[in-house]
Formats: sequence, structure tokens, C-alpha cells
Amino acid sequence: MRDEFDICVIGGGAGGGVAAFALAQAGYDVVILEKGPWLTEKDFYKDEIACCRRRTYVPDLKDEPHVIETREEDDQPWRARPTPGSGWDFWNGNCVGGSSNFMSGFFHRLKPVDFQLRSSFGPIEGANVVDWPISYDDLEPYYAKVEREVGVSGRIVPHPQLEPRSTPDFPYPPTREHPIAGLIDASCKKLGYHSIPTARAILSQPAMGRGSCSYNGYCGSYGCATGAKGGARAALIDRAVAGGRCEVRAHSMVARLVSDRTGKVSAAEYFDKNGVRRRVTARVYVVACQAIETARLLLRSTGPRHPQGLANGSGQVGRNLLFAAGGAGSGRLSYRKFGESLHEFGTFVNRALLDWYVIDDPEFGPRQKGGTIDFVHAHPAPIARATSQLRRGGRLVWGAELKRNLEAHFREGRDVKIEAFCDWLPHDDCYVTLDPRVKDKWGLPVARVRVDFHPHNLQVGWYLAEKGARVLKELGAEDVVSFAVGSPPTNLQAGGCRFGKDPKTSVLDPDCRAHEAENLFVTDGSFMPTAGSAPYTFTIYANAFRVADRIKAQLGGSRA
Amino acid sequence: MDRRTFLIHFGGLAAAPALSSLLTGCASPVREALAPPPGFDWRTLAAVQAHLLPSESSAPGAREIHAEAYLRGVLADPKLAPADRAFLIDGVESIGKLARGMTGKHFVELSHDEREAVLRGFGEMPEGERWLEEMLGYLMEALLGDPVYGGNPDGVGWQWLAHNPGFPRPPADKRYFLL
Repeated sequence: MRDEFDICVIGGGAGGGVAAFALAQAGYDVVILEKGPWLTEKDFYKDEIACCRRRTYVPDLKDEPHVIETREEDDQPWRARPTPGSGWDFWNGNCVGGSSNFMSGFFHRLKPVDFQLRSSFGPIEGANVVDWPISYDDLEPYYAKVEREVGVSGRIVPHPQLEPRSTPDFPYPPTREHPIAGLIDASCKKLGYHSIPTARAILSQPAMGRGSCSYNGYCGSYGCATGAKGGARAALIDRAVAGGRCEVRAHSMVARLVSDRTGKVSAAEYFDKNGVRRRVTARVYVVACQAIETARLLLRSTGPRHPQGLANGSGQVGRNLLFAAGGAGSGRLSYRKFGESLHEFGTFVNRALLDWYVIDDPEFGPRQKGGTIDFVHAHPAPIARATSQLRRGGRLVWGAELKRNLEAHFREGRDVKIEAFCDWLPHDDCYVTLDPRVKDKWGLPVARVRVDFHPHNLQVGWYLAEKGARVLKELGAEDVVSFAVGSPPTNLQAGGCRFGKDPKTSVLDPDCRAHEAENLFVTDGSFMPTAGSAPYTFTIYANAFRVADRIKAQLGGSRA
Repeated sequence: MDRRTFLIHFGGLAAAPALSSLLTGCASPVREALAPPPGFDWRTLAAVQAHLLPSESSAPGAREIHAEAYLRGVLADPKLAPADRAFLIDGVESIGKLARGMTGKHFVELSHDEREAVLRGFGEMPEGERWLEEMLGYLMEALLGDPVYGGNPDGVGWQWLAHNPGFPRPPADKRYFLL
């Protein structure tokens, strides 16, 4: 088995997939070490038991736990619990392509203001807000590249928050829209809001050897059976492998990165499927294991020049972990009131509001960062919907009462949901360390994650969710509710290895190269010092293409 | 017998009749370790399921969705944590004892109202409500999960609730425990 490559990518998800694709395309020999299996379109079915009830695509928590630190109130002590039986699970899509296999693919770009939060709005007490060391203009060409290479469908319409673009529109037309989209547009027009079509990383027509969306009604949480969804495996890794310069080693759990006396990484040691310890060497190592696991790998990869963990001389590895903050809500549209056209199945709502990406509302406070409001169908997964009907007024129901509840829920209308995204403010009580006692099935120390949130997240989340609720009320929805929660959405992780110009306060330089190890790069969402107000995958993809260009330059340019 | 073979044996009898007929004679230490103990009161389990999701002329109940067979598959899944398996089994035993304590009769002999009183009483016991919610969750799986797992025969649950299950649907060789 070959053990020398130009590039060793650890983690075959969004950030690793881009690096592997771009560098293999440039003529470099790449190996991807992915701890999960290599599933393909032939393994993905509309199977709620598989995706969501048994969590087939993530590790068994007994084998691979995390330890989570929480506290009830600010004056209470922190309580640490291993994840099995805790209700927490921070794993997302452990397979080639990672969690991007199971994303919904809402692809909003960050806005120029996201790169300058500190200088635009000033400090927030208790939050470690800083500007990014790069600007929107640095990333814009790579957003355009993602739209092309991954395949983004959508339609640009003018609106006050539209970011500058180098291309007039998306390369693929929008996916088909459900009649609810028209209802939302009409409601927003009455309210003076600017509803916009949501761009999706879903092919609306066949391209690049992949099929078009089949409009079967199930997308997020499910793997795509046609390849239309622009997950890293379908969109990038498959192409890299077909090009002959990328080898994927599934079931390969990297135990540590070995570093030499100069501080450079000299090898990746990993366990193969049979538990045999193996080693590969490369000129450049790219880490992209998702934020928590990236920090964990660096922290356990101590070496002669890295006694506190690889690239952790600043003590910043694992600090300022980010999730996505925000609010949510829903409204009920009855078939009796809105007609049979709402029965249409498989098409998308695809509507968003960006009117409050920056909130300039004296009644709310000083001008400040807001976020994105998406309108989506309630997920069609029937078992989840049915179990949501098991209680009325807090009381468990069964028998004929439960059956009438199910009939009403499934047959008399449908729910439209509000998903509001705002910044998860970085702060001192959200971070990753190594647990001193708990180990995984390989005997490696697991990540211990403290997951407190900044109260400002809740204020903005409530504000945005309430704006979304106004839209649903205006269009005549019933049972409209909106709210915000402080708990982290465990599928949206970033931060922990923030990039910056100062090695004392950041882990990575502006090119996402470790300040302390010149052949180590990080291309998942860990680099983000703040993470914007939209799902992260689009920006992870774009930044990884940018970093791949820097790696190519470091290695002497393209060989292709 | 490995996990794959074991689950074909227990979890998918409806979906893999040819395989199951070949395997039904196999003695299996795994099966013995995972199956409920001898004397487990399957009748009470089935009666509880039928009470929680009763059969009606216009809507399927536990019997029509093959809820008992589905739960046999759940209990035979080696990935089910031993504590969770014991929890399900112990709950049935507790309901049986409560029925005898409250009425002097076996649960299956009780009237509808008596069964309701026993289960409401059970729901007020420590962990009783959690057990009932868990059992209802498995009933919803048997009602609305893909028929390949042994419940929801011919999509009877989907038809009742006018639900579109999407496509492609999982074949027997792509069930979650075989991936």
C-alpha cells in the first residue's frame, strides 16, 4: 500500500473534499483519510429509520462519545456528562462527503459586513468579536467558483442586501417552487419586505455527470439518490477520484499528526478498518474534520515543538467554538382555506428575507448585525411528524385521540417553518479541550465541549423569528408561533482554530496555514473567527478553494 | 451468526421470506442473548400496543401494522443498548404486575376501561411515562416506516394518512443495519 503523497487530507467532508478536488485537479497526488464508510448514491434511500431514527450515518456514542459541559444558570457550577444517554450528539455525517451529504443546501453568501463585524458595530461585552483578516472581495471569486463547480441553482433579484457579484446570476435555474412561495411573496409585498429566492446547492438540471433533482420531497437529513445535491462526495470527490490522482481511504481514523523538531508535520498516523495502525507522509497536510474534531486532533497531536498540541502555542486551539444562533417558528396552512394546490409534493418553498441582515431599528437598539430568515416546508419525515403529535397540553395521548390527531395533522393541512440564522457570538465559555478520562474505542481521548451561549444571540434570534412570523400571519396561516433558543444546533459547527494575522491570538494565518507549522492547513469551518448569519457550507467550500490556491502556490503552482 | 445474518433472521422476516425460511432452524447464541427471556409475556405486549393504537374500520391499528412483529425486530437489533432492551422488557412485566394488582386479572382479560386505567396508572409510576412514550414511538415507526422493516405492510399507514413516502425506497439489502 502506498504511503507517500503530495497532499494528505484528513476528513472527507466539505472542506477536505474541495482541497482534494482542487489539488488533484492541479496535478498533485492526494490521499483522503476518512474515518467513516464510503457510501454512494446506491446506498441512499428515502428511509427515515436509517437516516433519522437509528442515526446510521454517525458513530455509536458508546464507541465514540464526547463529554459536554453545561450549567443551568450563570452562578451554577459546570456539569460534565458523556454524550451516551445525555440527549446530546455532536456527530454529523461520518462518511465520505461528510455532513454535506445530508445538508439541505441553503447557499447564502456571507455579506461584506460579516468580514468586519468588530469595526462595523464595535465590541459586545462578553464576546470575542474580531474582524476577519480577509475581505469579502478576497472570497468573492471563490463563491462564484463554488456556484460553478458544485452547482448552485437560483435566481438573482435586486434587493437592498444583495452582495456584490462577479457574475450576473447563478449557473443553474432555480429548483421548482411550491405554491407556498407565491403566498409568501404576496405577503411580503403587502408588508413592504423583500422576499428573495433562496439559492440551493441542488442541480435543477443534469450536469457534470450528476442527475437533476428528482423532487421526491426529502432532502435535508437524507442522502441524495440522484447526485443532484452538491455534497462534497457527489460534486467533488467522485470527480477527483475519476481523475486518477485522488485515493480515498475510508474507515481510516487518524490518531495523530506527527511533527518533527522544526515543527513541521511529518506523518499522519491512522487506524485502518481492522484497527491496524498505519502511517502516510505528505508534503502538505490538510485537516478538515469539522470544528470539534479538528480541534481534538490538533490538541492530541503533541510534538517536540508543540507540547500543548499541534499549532497551539497560542493556546487558541479549540477556543471560540461557534455554532449557528437564531430563532425558529411555524404556521399552519389548512387545505380547506388555501385549496388543494398546497398538496403539491416535492417542490421547494425556497424563500428568504435578508431585510434585517443589518438591523437598523431604534426600538431594538443601536444599529447592529442581524441575520437571515428562511421559509421552508416542515420536514416531511412522517415518523418525526407523528411523534410530534403524541402530546396535547403536555399530556401523553394514545388510542382514538391520538389517531384523530394524526389524521388532522397529516390530512388537513401542512406546516411552513421559519428558520432564522444570526451570529453565534464567540465567547470564553464555548470551547473544546481533551477530556482527561474518557476515551473512544481506539483509546484516544475524546473532545470535551463547553457549550454556553451569549445572551445577545437570543435577542437577535427572537427579533428575526418574529419578523418571519409576521409574514406567516399576513398570509393567513394559523397557529403561528416564533421563538429563539440558546442551545447550539449541533450540525452547524465552526470556529476553534480562528484565522488572523497575529500568532498570539489566532491559530491560522490569513491563508489558513498554521502559524506554527508551515505545511499544515485547515479547510473546514474551524478558521472562522465569526461565522456570519447563514448555514456554513457555502463559505467553507469557497474558503477551501481559496486555501487550495495558496497550497498550490506554496508547492510551486499547478502541475496539470 | 454475525450481526448481518442475525438481523435478516429477526428484523426482516416479512421482507426476506426466502432467507428467513432457510434460517429459522438455526440455533443462535446471539439470539438467545438478545431475545426477551423465556416466558416473556408477548400477549400483554400485543394487548398494550392494541390499546395504544386500536384497530378501527377506517384506520389501521397495531394489529394491521404488524406492531408486535416490528417490536420483535427492534428487540433483536444488536445495536439496541442492553439497558434500552431491558427497559422495554421490564415495562411489559411491570404493566402485567400492575394489572394483577389493580384488578386481579391478566392484562389481556381486562376491558377497555380497565386497560386504560392500568396504563394511566403505569404512566404515573417512575419511568412509566417514558416507557409509554417510547412504545408509542416504535408504534409510529411500525405505522409510517418503510415496509422493508416489517411494519406498515403494503404502506397501510401511508395510505391512511395520505402520506407520500418519496423515492427511491430502500430494498432489503440496503436496510440500515446492512450499510
